Amino acid sequence: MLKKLSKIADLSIDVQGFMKTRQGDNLILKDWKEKARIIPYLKYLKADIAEATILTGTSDLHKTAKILAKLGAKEIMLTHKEGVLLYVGGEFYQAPFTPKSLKGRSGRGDTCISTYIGKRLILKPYPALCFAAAVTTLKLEKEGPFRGDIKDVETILEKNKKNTNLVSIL
Amino acid sequence: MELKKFDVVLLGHFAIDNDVVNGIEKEVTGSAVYHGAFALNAIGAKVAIVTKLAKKDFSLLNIFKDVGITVFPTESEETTGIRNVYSTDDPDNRRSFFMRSAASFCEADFPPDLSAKVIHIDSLMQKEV
Repeated sequence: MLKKLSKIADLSIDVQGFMKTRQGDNLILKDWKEKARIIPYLKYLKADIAEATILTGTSDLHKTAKILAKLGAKEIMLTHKEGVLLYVGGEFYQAPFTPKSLKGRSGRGDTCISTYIGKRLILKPYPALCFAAAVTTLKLEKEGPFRGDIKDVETILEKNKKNTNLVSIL
Repeated sequence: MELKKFDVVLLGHFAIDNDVVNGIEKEVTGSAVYHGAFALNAIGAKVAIVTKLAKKDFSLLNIFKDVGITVFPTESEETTGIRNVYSTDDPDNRRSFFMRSAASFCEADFPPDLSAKVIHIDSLMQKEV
């Protein structure tokens, strides 16, 4: 099914759906056995730090991204509690999450990758990433999905541009 | 055949989850397609969802239709449900428990007249896609 879909559009995957495995009533992360067969079809691949570690055997996100790129994914997004790392065309980019609270913890990664692939249709990787991280910041502050105002996103983008320390801690 | 054109199509189960935050449990609308579709809609992308859930829950999809998000649902015996337990302020620290799952997707679930620039596989657990 995935090969067929990759012929009609750019294909993107969040690896959680291929790693989260039922074991009794627990849902635990297990390695994705078909990763070497499927990843070459992907334009976008998203994982969080826990998934990335199991998938590649290292918790070093830079090494993880390179391994996944070698398997064939074109643009790799790795989320963690402080922000998001992107690896595209041999270059690393990063952007911070800067929420004032964590009332909306469910859906962090879903919001980040969706916003990124939507913005990538009109922007280059780094501005699309910064936009996605700003939307995710606002999402983390409220329960439920992001329904906010784009002006609030732009305010966060401006703040992050001025605060270069945020980038250096990632 | 006239194609229905979208910027992004999200494929994944819609879910009715139970979230436990600081020991307090409540039923919430869940799923990656839920969070992803609202974000895409908010930034102005034309987004559609291909999903699978119990017929009795189809009315819950009005939350998408009400904001202009197109949904292509197929029927299953169950609607997926996951219990997520957040025990600390670290969103990376989450334990998940199986409650219910809709049936796996098959090729026939993806409408043949659907065109997208990107198809994002937003599944929640193994065997969904």
